[in-house]
Amino acid sequence: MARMNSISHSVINVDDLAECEHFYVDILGGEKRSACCFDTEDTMRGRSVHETYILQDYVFFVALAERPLPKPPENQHRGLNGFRTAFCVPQKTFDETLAAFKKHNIGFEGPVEHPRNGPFGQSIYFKDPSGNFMEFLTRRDEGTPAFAKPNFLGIG
Amino acid sequence: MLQKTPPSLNTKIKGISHVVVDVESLDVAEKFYDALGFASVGHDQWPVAGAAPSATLEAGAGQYVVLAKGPARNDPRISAAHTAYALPKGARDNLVETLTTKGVAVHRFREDRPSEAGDNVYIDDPSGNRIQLVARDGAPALSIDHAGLETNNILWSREFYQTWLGLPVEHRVGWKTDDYLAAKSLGEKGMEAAMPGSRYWNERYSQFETEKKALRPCPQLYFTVGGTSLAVYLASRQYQAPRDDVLSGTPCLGLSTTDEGLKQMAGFLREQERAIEGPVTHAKGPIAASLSVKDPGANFLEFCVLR
Repeated sequence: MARMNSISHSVINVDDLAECEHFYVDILGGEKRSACCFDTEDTMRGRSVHETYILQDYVFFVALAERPLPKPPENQHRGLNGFRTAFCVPQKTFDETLAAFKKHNIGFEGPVEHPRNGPFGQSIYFKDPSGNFMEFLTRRDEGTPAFAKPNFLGIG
Repeated sequence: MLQKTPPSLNTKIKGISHVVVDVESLDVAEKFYDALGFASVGHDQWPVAGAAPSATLEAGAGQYVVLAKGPARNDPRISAAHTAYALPKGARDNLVETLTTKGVAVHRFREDRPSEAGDNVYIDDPSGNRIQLVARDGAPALSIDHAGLETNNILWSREFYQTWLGLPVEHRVGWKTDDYLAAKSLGEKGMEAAMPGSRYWNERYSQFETEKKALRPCPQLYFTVGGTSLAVYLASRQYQAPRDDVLSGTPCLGLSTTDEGLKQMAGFLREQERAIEGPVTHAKGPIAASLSVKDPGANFLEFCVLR
């Protein structure tokens, strides 16, 4: 059996790095940690064009797509355009997050109430400027031992 | 972490005041620039050119072109660095016709900035310095429209020009998928047609790519500098930079400011622990005071107060 500690990072494709930076840093509060192919040495080594961001404990690379990306319709905020990434939001700041989305005109679906017998509370669904689907959700078990070490059994 | 620029700093930068270019022969260069229509102001009166013999020419709108005799540190023919001069379209077209008659090679390079995409005219001066002639009705004849510089790290250059100096980014190339598709769509012919220094072959090191080489645009940033523009290109090769302790020299880009702006700039750059030379006052010539610094691409810059 293969053994691992945790998720190290994900890679998503985007088609505009400047828009992406604005979205993940200025709106979602992430931190940009590195960029590749914006110095001569990287270009001479033939590296791909990508940047690295950290959102809380989530490290992800955004790679500049070399081909046009399939884009979901403007008014579609929920789906699996490749995949969807979900982030936990503290219950007490959920309304604040909704207000920030409205302020920045970020389209979203929700809040959606999850089944009461599960650990998930509410979710909003949205996508980044390149059409990558994302989700912010609260956990009903926030603050409990189960939340500290998630047990995904029973999530449907 | 770099600090944000004081909000008023950008308002003090009025535009490009001058360019200093290296020329192999002062006599030959003067004749060439004279034929373009530049008026001579005098010799050996430009402070930044140091001991090298120089000729100062007047461009439109109180700007200057300084020809400094000396060897070029890097070959300007393979660089994206250039100076663009604006003149009314009729005058520009007449000039192109005259130059063609005299046997000067006129290039129609492709550029990525939308405002330059449709009307590109380039020539080299006798030392290989690239000159772009921009048609702009209403512009003073041969005024400096924009200058292009190279850097080996465009994010550091963005930090310097946008964050430190507060210059707005008018356009960027290399941040979008569309930029790469546009470069790639032209294939090898695109490389030939593109302005030297604006494209590179990306020889991939990723083994999973089926396409082993891809034609890419060099990332570019266009900053608004008063009524002029500054283009910064990521160089497709490592180039020779001046020594770290040398803060003024040629080639050089001049940015005009006010007395207050010069003081503010000096204070700000000192706070950032950036090595500067000056401000110094000059007894003669068009510059009354100046401050020298190198940008992150090791390009010599001179902030100056014109007399």
